[in-house]
Amino acid sequence: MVEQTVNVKLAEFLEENATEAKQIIQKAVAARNARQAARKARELTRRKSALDSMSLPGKLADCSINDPSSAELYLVEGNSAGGSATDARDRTFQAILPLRGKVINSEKNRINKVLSNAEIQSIITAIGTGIGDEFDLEKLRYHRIIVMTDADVDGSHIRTLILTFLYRQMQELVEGGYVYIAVPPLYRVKVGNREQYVEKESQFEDLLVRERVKDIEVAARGDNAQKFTQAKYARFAKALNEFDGWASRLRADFGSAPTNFVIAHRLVETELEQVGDLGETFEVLAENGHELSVVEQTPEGTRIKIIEHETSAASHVTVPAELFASPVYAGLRRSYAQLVDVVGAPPFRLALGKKDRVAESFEELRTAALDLAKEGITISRFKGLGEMNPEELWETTMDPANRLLIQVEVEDAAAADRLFSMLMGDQVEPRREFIESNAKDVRFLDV
Amino acid sequence: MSSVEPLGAGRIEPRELEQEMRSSFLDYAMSVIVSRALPDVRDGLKPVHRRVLYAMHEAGLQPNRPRLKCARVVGDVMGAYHPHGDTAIYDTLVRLAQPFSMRYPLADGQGNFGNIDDYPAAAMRYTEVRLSRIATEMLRDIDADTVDFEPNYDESRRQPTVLPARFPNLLVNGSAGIAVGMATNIPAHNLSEVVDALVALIDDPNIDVDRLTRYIKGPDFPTGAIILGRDGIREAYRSGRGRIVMRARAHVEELRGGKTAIIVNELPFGVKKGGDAGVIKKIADLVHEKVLSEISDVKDLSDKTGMRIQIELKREAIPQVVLNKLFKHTALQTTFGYNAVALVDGVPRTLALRDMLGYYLAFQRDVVTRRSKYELRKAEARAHVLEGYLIALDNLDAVIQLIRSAADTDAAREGLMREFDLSEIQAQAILDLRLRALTALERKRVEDEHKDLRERIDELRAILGDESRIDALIREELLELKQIYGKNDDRRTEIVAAEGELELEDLIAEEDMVIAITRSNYIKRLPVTTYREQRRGGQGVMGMDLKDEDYIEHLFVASTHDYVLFFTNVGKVYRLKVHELPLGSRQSKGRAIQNLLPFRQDEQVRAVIQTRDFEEAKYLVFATKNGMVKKTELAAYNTPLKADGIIAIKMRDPGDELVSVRHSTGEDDVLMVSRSGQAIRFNEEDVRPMGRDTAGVVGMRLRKGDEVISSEVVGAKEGELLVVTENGYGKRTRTDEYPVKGRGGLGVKTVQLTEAKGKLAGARVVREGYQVMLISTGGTVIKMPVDGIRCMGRATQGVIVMRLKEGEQVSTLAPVVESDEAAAEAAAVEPEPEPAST
Repeated sequence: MVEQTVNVKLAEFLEENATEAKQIIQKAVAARNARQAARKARELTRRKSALDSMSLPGKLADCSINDPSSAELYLVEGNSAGGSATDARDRTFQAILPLRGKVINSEKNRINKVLSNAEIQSIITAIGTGIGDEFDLEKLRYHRIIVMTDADVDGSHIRTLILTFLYRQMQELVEGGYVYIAVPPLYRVKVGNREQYVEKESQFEDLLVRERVKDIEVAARGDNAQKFTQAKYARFAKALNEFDGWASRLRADFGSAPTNFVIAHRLVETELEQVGDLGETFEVLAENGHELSVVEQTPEGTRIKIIEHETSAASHVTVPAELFASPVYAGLRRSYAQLVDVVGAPPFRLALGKKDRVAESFEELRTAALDLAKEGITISRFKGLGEMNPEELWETTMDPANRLLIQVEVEDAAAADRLFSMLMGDQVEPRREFIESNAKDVRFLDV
Repeated sequence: MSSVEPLGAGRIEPRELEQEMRSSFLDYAMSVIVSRALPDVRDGLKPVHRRVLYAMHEAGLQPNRPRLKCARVVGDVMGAYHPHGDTAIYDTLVRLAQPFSMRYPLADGQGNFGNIDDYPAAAMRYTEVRLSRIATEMLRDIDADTVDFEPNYDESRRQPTVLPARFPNLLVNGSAGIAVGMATNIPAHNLSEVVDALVALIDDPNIDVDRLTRYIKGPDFPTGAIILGRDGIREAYRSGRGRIVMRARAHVEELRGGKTAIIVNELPFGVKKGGDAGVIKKIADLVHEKVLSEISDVKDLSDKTGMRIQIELKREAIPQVVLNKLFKHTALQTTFGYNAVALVDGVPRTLALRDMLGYYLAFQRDVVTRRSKYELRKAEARAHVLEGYLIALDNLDAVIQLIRSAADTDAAREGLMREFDLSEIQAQAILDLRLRALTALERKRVEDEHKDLRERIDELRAILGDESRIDALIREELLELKQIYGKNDDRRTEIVAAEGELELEDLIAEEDMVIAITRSNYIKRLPVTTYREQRRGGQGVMGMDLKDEDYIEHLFVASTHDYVLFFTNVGKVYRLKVHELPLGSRQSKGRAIQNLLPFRQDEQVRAVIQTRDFEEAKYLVFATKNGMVKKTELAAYNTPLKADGIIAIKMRDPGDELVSVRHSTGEDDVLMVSRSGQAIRFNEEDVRPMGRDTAGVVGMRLRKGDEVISSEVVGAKEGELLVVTENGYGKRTRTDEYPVKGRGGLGVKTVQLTEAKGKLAGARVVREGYQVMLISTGGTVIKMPVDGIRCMGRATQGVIVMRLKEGEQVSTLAPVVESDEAAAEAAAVEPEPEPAST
């Protein structure tokens, strides 16, 4: 009787309250998926215990040691790199599991699908702990799970995919500090007779400066040539960074044409009290092979004609009056002055031995200096693990005596949780916003 | 490699998971966005395309040269510029050569390059390729310093950052790509149309999108077919995003033996014909699932003469209906999700048509300017040398003397520079001269060449000094392109006006339905024929499985193609087609309206109007609780309603609610009744017709605490106003006893209310034979014929009509439909639909 009434009334309620009904159903579906996932995980681990070593993935090159506390598992991108890693390793304590292609995204896909994936299954069985509610740290077979991917952006992507799976399904593993990232070198650089590896982009620049840039002679406008010393370069690089920041803010506010104009034609070097005086200002600007004249004042700003002496080529640019009044412009001028303080004003003539270059701007000075510095040294850029010989791989990335490992830590689990949903989840919009607002923080771009 | 210095002892650096994820993901995402998946706005190419074309250019694979194995090209591209997988490169190359993928293929292939059935191309060791003729326009002038170059991945050589793209490739060939967090999808266009638009933009920099679309009519897909409707195109061009509906080109043919068939000759862009994902397989599946039961056979009769999908129909099938079903259920009609994202200065942006043309034009100005500068420098260098020759020829004997007496080349060069004021370059050039240059004929040639060069130099300087001449050059070169490549290249995709959304009606037979809506908002429909079949001994709609206290409030007959408008208390109106209502069995209780319409919290249906073509009545008259009244043409509600409804009447006061909606002819009277027993009758001409989204005017002035409970339109036909009080008293009064006055007054007493009788619970215009339903707050329901309620004067008290339990009151008075059989019968006899107003 009770059941009947509840049945009737509940059906009515659900019929008449569509939103609530949908929520209840979604909840139920989610619960079912979770249940199925747990069962699947159980099955996977059970199969392991039934057959033990027999059930380990065939691709796993296991280590001989039985003590998990000194054993390591390398999760390696790509079968080809898996081969050299296997050849390179110390088999007593290093196990290798090659993963093919991009690992499935465990945030975006349904858990059943994730667990049906062969690569994921082999990771689960190799690690041994089981997943989700079944996770048992006691069964961990290696105390170092090392993610080793190529030093390119696809490698970065695969790394995020593996970390997503580990964090979502074996959270304690990540929180316990068992997860590491291998850092293969980016470059092998040969200067003179010395050969060395470089792990980070910033180290490469440091090396060029340390070894080569210091010998470059730089002559600024109206100045004598001076050595580009390491200390000078460091101050220059820092000031240039700041200058670039102001310039991109000015571009964002007023467009790139006016911004490039005021920098290229040295307007930033002058004190500009009255925008109406632009014509007079042009008189005192440092000569740079162009003739400037004011065409007219428009509502958008001052229209300026630029004529290149060499070719008579004419072009026009409209500079808004507000640009000169903006605090960003003031900041740009300050950091320009700082740059002039360090290295002098453009254009620059650079010389290293018999080679020389001309740089029209600070940015060009930097690239020209680095380009000159690269002359005469041999650089190999490692894009993939597969480019290295097994010995090289051992020396640089796997040898505990030499290698650099990054240990993944979790400080703020809630923040990490949100980040994973945003970066790897199925909602596109938040991801797009994240990319747009962080675009400037990108470390390196693939070519 | 053991000589390489070790990096140092093993180190472990900690890094926050969040930080690691953030930076790794950004590296990947930004790389995919700026250097993999999105095209550059200037040349419309992704890096891989650019590298393929440039490598072919370097390999000398011009259209008039023999082709080379694709494997060679792929190897060149991979080794020199693109350190990624070979299959990705080969797939790119294959696509560039496919005439059904590219409106203007950039590669000219030999061998099997795949087909529209999703068959892959032959392996790259079989196929051969070279640049197509139009691809050379992408690369033209690349050696004239027109674009920037950058080092390749290992800095061993240099590659262009963009191609000169002397034709507007981005628009003409389109682009599609999925990056991270964003994607792009730009359709192909007709070259001649785009050139015309560019020329128009050069001539008038302020041209707007409407005028641009006079030149660019819309996308022009390589596969032809049909675009349905111009609104989607307009929106896409205006905003950079839009939905463009594409349809296959199909016609109906009589086959031998009297059968008919639908023949498809062109498919929408991107739709595969054969294969597992193909449209033929889909049609076959739908035939098996009985969705397309009218089809007897599907044959792919495509051959060297072109595509022909023959869809044979059963004899009784109506070809147009089947075709419409095919459009509805298969990819024969597909929407192109226009999303014009391209890189501008390396940053992804969504671009309107004007932006794309504008950026292309700005780029071409740059290209032509740089080319002219390059040519100028070349010419001046040559002129400089020639001037040296002329000096030497003028002083021929002295020069010969000097050279003969010089000890070595260096001495000769320095001597020349010193004696004749020559530059080192000129002196060297003179030393490099051959003796035959000394003839008189040669001298003439040098003079002529020098004169021509000077003229050319002056001209180039004049061009460079005048931006309008650069524009004129671009204009000229674009029109030349149109001449060459636009000849014999008519638009392939036909654009036809939208015939309205493909409505379900086109797929649904017209049939009369009985629609029942209950007091608690359950709704269902069932075919009238159901009733006819079991007239005798039928259960009637009351067999409907209703909740207690529920009863049918609206019952009417309408065709499946008619509309039902649902007006809610908050003043919104929703529209459904009758066929969209849930089809119930006789016993089923139907579905709650909330499930059909996106109601907000506490939103309730107050009135239902059924209409076929919005011409059943001239006006609708609305009344609200606060006494507002509004008249709007019924036709004003014939708009494609948004999914979440549109405003039917604006509520000036947020607490106000819609009370009723009625048809009117324009010559009727309005009779409003208030809670405290006032009633006002005025001519509807007092209420001027207004637009849909308006609040109306004051119909009845109310004392504090009073509210309108009912509003009726009273026509010429006589009737009675039935009122019932909260405490169960009621009476009928002839409507002509209510004097017609101006609107906006307090009205006259319609009933003598006392403490014992309570306020009014409801009021209705009724006629002999009507039945009404009274419901108490305690849930008691009684149904009675109105004939049983006494007809009395206006200001009388009425008699008891419902006995109530202690503490209960009458909450609702509603008309009720006793028998659905009556309605069904009425429908069968009267062709005119029943008025469905509440």
